[in-house]
Amino acid sequence: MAKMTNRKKQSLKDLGFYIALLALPLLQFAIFYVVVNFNSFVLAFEKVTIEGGVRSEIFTFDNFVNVFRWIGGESPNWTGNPSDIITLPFWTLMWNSVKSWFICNAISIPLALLFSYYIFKKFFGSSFFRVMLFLPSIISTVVLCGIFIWFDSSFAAFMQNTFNVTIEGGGFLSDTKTQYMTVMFFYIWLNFGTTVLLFSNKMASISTEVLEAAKVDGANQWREFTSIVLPQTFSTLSVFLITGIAGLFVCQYNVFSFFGSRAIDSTSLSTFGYWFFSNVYDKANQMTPSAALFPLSAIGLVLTMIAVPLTLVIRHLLTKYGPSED
Amino acid sequence: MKTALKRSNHLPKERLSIFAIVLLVVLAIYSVSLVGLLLFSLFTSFQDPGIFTFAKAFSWPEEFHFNIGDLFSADKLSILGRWNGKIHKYSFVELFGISLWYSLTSGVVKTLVPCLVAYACARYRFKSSAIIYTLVIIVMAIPVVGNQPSEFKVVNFFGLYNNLFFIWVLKFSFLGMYFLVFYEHFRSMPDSFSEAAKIDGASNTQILLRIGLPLARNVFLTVFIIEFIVFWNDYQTPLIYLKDYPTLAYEMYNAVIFGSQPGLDKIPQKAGATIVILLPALALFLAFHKKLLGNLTIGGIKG
Repeated sequence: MAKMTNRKKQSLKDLGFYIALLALPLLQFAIFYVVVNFNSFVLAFEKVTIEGGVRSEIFTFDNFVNVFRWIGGESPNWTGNPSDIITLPFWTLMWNSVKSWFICNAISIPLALLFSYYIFKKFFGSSFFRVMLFLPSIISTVVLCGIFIWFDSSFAAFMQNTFNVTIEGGGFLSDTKTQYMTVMFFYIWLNFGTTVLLFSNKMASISTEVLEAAKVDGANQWREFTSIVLPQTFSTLSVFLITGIAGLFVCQYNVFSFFGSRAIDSTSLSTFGYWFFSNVYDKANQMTPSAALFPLSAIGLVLTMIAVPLTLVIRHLLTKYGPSED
Repeated sequence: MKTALKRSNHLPKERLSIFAIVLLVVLAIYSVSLVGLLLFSLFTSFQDPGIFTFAKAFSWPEEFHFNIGDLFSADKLSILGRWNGKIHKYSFVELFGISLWYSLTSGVVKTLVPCLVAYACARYRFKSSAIIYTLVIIVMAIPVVGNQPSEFKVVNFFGLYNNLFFIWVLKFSFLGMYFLVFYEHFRSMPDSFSEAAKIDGASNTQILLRIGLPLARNVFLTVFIIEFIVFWNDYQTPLIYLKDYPTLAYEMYNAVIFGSQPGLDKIPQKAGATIVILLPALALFLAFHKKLLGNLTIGGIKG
């Protein structure tokens, strides 16, 4: 009996300690995740009206009507004041987002896998290259963007003075014909860090016996990479692809760090991620939070409705058709 | 999704094939271009701001000018913000202090909270532990787009907007990859340690403080350094939520995009500022790079 009472007492103590550890983090989660997302849903169905000088927020489907008009190619009237949100055509933003996402992933993932293989095999200088590839991840993006802007302008001036070669606009970032590819190059160039780190660490868990057996069978390094290392790294790759879907609508590709909110109406640079952040930044810094925050929430909700099933479909396809590690 | 510690794997050194030589060349070009860009900034920071032009950027300066030192001189720099609602002229040292406060408090909170929640979930097998674990994975896998307007309103509602001393509340979250890292670590800790301590009369708090946290100190330190660097470099949170309290990264953004603050409006001065911002993160990275690049892998998302 006494033993049971002691056990019960200990269980209660454990439960009390457990609750004490979790209470505040769960409260923060409730407010800054659950409430924020629920409120985002509610905001999508509201709009601001001003009658007799009194501002009020009323329930409406107008935001969604406008979003679907926008998707249909019409010019939406977001808040009764069209200039409140700087509007680019929906399909321009979609095209820029998909194109940028595809270019970045199609170039950076294969390169990251190749670099990771080099590091995993401990070829000449691999430790040094590992540090070099990760280095940009620890440097502030705005610092790197700043240095790149000055370098770009200095390079244009150098080419003009030394070789009499003119780079339009005084630099690749200023010339509208080259700025998109320059931004993409910069983004890919500096974003190998985490990817290479995780891929190479995953490769390190591949059994040496398998690799040695392949070598005995006469497999060269390219064959080893494509037939053994790639399939064995697929689980990590699939995590990247699945979680990367969110990047389609969120990633800014450093455009904000290069141009601030100045490129918000650029038909070549503006992606959903950049356009969204620039709008929130502009509206948030006004004295009264702008009426534009409501339609922005509706746009966010519609994009989430696209991103969630897309993520689930890609996850399903990767699970069903991806190579097995076994 | 599962995380795991790296298995040690000793591969014999192999000769370079053509395939590996091509990779070596690409990696060498990459490293040279990266180091070159940073050296360009260091070199520019020694140019005379009075006579600097882009055309002279690659030429050897006639006279070396220590712009980094000038940044710390209160007479030469003028960055306006607010302190306690009043207009305040910030010195570079004050910007440094705000950055340090923001990075330290947010870094500690963003490391400690996932650590403690992971400890609770891994060591106490209540049903809710499994629910929290699943919740973290669901939140990581399901993308939510465009909740910033709502977040902005909620932050405003709780008085955290423009609140330097409590901005860390926004980071008091256990969600994310490091929860999984800590969870794996605490799950792999043998039960015998805590059971022996319990028999000796140790309380739950004593077991956490004397066994759990000391055994996790390496992972804790690694995650803290990574988070500290992330917040040190973060300019977008301060840009939206700390409008009147400029951090170094925030002011660097202003310098890059607007470049109008006296003392930080010329390219060599801005280049000097990049070096100052870069140094703490670089020093931490070089000191702890083996730990930081160490033992993290992510497995597949299991059905």
